[in-house]
Amino acid sequence: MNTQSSNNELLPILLNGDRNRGLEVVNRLLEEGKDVITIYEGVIKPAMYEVGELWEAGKISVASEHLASAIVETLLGHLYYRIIKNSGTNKMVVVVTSVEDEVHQIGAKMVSDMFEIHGWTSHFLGANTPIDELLDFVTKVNPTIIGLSMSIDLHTRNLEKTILKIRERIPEMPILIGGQGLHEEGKEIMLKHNGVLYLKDLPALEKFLNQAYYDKDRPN
Amino acid sequence: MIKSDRNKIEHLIAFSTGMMSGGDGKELIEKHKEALNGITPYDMLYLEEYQMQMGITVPEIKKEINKILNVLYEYLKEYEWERPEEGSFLYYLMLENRAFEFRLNTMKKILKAYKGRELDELGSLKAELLPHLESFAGFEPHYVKKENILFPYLEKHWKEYKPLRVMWSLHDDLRRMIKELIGLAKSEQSEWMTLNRAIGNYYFGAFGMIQKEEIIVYPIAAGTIPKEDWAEMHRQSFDYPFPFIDRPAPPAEESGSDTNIDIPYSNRAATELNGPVSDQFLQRATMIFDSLPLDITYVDEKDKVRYFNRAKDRFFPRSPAVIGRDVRNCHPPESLHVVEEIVNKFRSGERDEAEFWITMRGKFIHIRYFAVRSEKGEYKGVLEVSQDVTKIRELQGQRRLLDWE
Repeated sequence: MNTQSSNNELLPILLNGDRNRGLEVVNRLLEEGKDVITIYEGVIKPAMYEVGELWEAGKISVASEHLASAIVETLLGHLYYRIIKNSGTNKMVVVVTSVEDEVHQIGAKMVSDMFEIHGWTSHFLGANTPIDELLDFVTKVNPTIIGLSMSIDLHTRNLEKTILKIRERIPEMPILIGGQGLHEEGKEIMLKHNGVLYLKDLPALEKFLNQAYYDKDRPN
Repeated sequence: MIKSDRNKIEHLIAFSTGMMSGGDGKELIEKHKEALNGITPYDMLYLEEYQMQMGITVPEIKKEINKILNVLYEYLKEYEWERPEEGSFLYYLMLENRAFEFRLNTMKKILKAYKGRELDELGSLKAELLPHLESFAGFEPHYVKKENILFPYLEKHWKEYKPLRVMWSLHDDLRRMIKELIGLAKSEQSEWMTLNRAIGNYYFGAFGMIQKEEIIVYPIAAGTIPKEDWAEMHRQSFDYPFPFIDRPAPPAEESGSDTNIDIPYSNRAATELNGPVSDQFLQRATMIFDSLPLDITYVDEKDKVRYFNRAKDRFFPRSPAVIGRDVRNCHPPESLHVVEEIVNKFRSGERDEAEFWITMRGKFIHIRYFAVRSEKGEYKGVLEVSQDVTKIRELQGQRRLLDWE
């Protein structure tokens, strides 16, 4: 089975709220030798994007969307034991969060996991992190990079407000931005702000991490 | 059409001359404040052009340019210009700059994390910095796209294009600096003080370049180069990588617009070759030259680039934008005198050949220049032929039988 057909398989599972079958799909992909990044990008992300679109179009209820998200979080948790062994094996630190008012966090969690797979220590702050709280936390842990995620395009203003506030407090802080809500505007926002990098998906993040932060000792 | 206010320019000249002779920045700003308010990128271009006309050399201009621009940045950033649209040549150059800034900032973060421990943990710091520095060298195509595509168009549309030589020379400085910096990070012997100084110079040089591009060159380019030229430049940029950003989807192909030979269609049947030249002949000739394992560039007797081949894995990239460009503008100012010497001696008949050999990215490159002359011996230009001879130099003994293994 290829990952593409699993996308289609996962979507009805999520919509039906069948947690166990979701776990079965993930386990089978692992047995087939798929790595975590491939499962995230090729299976979970497209399924969740579709769930989001169905919800936006009013075709599924808020409850169904929440149920799908909850199952995906279980799947991510299930995969996490494969990630944790790499976490903190280099000196780099990242803070990953969804922007203020953004209630979705699965994309941000997958980004956080990607950093950990690459040996980083990741502080994942979850959804809807207030800007001032984020700044206080960032000042405390002094990360190498901050990653900001935005799933719904309504939060563009909050994203830009966060970027400006970070710039004010820590002018040289590298800021990564990404998420489904940025598909249209990611590059525009990147152009407007110094030192902000928009990465459109997880493979782009992986390429970036491999280019500038490769870790020779990282297990495959 | 580039316009500027004479009075403003005079103040700007007085201001920059004051800065170059070690004057106090604050005092000078106060003195010329009124004129500096509202200065434009065009004024900066005039200033540099004037300095060059006055005989101030490229190295002298380079020495103080960052200091002057740092002071004037606050004024120049207020200049309003039409930002490039998504999908345009300039848009991607600017996007590359943002991605580069991000990477430069990550290096700064690493340095900060080591603050106070640099001497004790120098080995670990170097190891952590090295992949970043090596990745910075990957920004090279950004500069090559400017030199091979943007600059030729600017030369066509700007009367005052000489300041571009300063920018090209600054590209070369950055190339040299990053090479040295990587060497220092790799070396076990290099000291922290030396490394730190080299990092600082590169960091400010790279940021300074972005600043010069975006507060001077790009705004003027956006205001002076016509729309149809931008489309062509964007198309030509796909011959190069897009450093640090995702490669965009290429624009739809337009047949016949991509030419690396400058024989106007109407004149193709009446070139100086013996007899008419058909399109078919031209196509075959182009294929033959493109199949040679050589980089070939032809410059005519009026010193204009007229042809280059598209050899596989060309090591000196060329873009169609260079066709018609004066050969003097195809080289950084530091090597201009060599180009002029070759052309002059070929033209006078004193010499017929010149050769160089260099190592580049692990390859041994043999570069030869040949004078092109008509049957009557009239000078018809220069042929540049470059060849990767790394493998040829390693050949020993004989191979007399076919061996494709």
